[in-house]
Amino acid sequence: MAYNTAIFQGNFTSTAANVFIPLRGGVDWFEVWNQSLYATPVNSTGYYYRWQKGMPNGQGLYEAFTAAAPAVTVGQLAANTGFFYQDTSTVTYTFSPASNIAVTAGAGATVTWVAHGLAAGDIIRFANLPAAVQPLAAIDWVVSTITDADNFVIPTAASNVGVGATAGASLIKISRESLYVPQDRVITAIASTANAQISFAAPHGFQVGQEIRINVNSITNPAVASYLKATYGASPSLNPVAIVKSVVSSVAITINLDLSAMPAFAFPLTASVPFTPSQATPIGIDTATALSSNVNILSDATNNIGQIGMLLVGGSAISPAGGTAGNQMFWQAGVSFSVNNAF
Amino acid sequence: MAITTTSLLPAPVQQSFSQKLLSVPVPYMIHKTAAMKKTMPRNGGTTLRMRRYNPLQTAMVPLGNTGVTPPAQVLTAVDIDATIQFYGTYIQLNEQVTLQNQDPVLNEAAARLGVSLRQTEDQLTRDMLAGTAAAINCVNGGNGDNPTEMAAQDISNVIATLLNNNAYTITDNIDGDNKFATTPVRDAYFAMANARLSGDLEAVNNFVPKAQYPFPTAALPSEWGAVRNLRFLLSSIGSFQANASMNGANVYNVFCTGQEAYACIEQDGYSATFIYRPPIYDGPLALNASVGYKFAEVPRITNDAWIINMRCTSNTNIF
Repeated sequence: MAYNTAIFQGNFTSTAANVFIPLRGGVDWFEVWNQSLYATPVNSTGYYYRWQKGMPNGQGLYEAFTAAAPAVTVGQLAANTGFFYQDTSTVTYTFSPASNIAVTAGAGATVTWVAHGLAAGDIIRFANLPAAVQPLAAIDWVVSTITDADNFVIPTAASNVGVGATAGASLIKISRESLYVPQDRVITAIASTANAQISFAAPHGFQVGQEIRINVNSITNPAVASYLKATYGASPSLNPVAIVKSVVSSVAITINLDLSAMPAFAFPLTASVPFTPSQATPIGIDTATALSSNVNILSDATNNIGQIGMLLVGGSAISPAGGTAGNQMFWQAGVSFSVNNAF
Repeated sequence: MAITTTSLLPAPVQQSFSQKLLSVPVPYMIHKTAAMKKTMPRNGGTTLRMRRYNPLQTAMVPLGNTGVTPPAQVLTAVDIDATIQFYGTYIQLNEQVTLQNQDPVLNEAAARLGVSLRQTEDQLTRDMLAGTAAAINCVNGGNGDNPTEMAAQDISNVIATLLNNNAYTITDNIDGDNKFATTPVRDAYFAMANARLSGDLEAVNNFVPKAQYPFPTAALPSEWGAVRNLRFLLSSIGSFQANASMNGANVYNVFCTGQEAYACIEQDGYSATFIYRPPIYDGPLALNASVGYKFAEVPRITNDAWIINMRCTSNTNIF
């Protein structure tokens, strides 16, 4: 019995965004058909794609309709527009060239970096920032929204850093953060309200009912740290535990603690560098809250999110994940008995 | 006079094989050293649920003589869950490999798979700690980065935090002895770090290398030394994040832990298994053998207050 060859298949509906197909068995070749385009050809769109081991990662081959469908043409997908074989248990880095990066102040700071090539949801790190915006460094930030090809937004809070621009600063895009979730999160803001809202620098992944410990830096926010320990700490020196009350967004939650009397929380400024950012650390779940909110009581369980599979790039008329939302895509992938590549 | 040289009469077999195989580098596996060992029972579902009750308030006020019953406290608990996941890998060997190779290929395959298994377990625990443990950046070093390199005050800050969180030390005192240049070692927490920090540790004030312990045999093989109440275990596969500091340098995660801070949960009835399938299982011509392993495990922090991720950069250059 040959158990070292396998064929996998499936389908999905395109959203015009990237699609990841997990294939734990590995993959030596991958094909995609756009059934919707076979049924109704559309000018200048790709209907068939193929990749096999030996082709550059991120590329592949395509067949497409010409500007006068149903006449067809063939070609090689441009770099970074095709198939990416990925093992997400290892982190990969995409380095920006040292460039002029400008950051505006305020909530939802805009970062200007010409031709950034990023997408919403990407995780980035800054390096070599000017003094005014150095507090943003050494923290993983999510790209909240893409304004245009040269500008994007990160989820800073209103009290965050000033304006800064410099030549020589750089960005690193990382393929993923922790291998395990839930993970600890950097806090960018804590609202002094009842059922206080906490905002984070990257997607938190918390669910209602989960318990988190709020670790506020007692050097950069001494009044806040003292208030929290004194009011809600299990002991005067222990940081308090809160229960997630609601999920506001991917980067914000509300908690069960009334912080309306808490002094204002401030994200550290340049004078505080170097510093430890305040964090929320997941510690478990309050089963009673989870049950009453109809949330899975095991949602706090440690989970290894590592995957092996194929990332199909989407978003253009010729892309293996489909360029038009709603297109029906069929795929087939396989592991070969042997791979004999001469180049 | 004609001389018969090896050009005329070469050795019929040019090479000899050295039967003693060369050493394979194996890193120290340090990340499970301080872990609690727990077991997921067979037929017990997919997830192990652990519970910790929250401390009660003290009752500092006298009851007085009124006979009035004071209000009761509410007993609460936090539940901590860990879902078992399964891992494994294997090698396939054509029968001609074992037939014709001079060295014991199957034996060596088993040895390599054993290291792969233990290293996988170690790295899973390492990566869980890196993502989940509360972090404190080193800020007292002088390299101008954020975080800075490790300094004695940073270590003191971590020790003070663990003490204030009521974390118990893991090791007892190593009492002094009448040996020149040795010093007693305090009862200590463990710190698990990357081997690249060896030079930085040597530069920390009050660092005591293992060689200066009164009884070096009391130290673990991976142990490098101690600073106050923290004993450092180093490994080449210690945790770090590439290019994560303010200046684009690597940030090293040093996991400082007390007792019972985290657990490694194994599945009952599915402990790590080495599997050898001789060629007879392969097909009609019995051409290929396979040898592999599988195991089921999940690491989980059980008390976040008893483990701190001390993050630092390094002043040590390696080539």
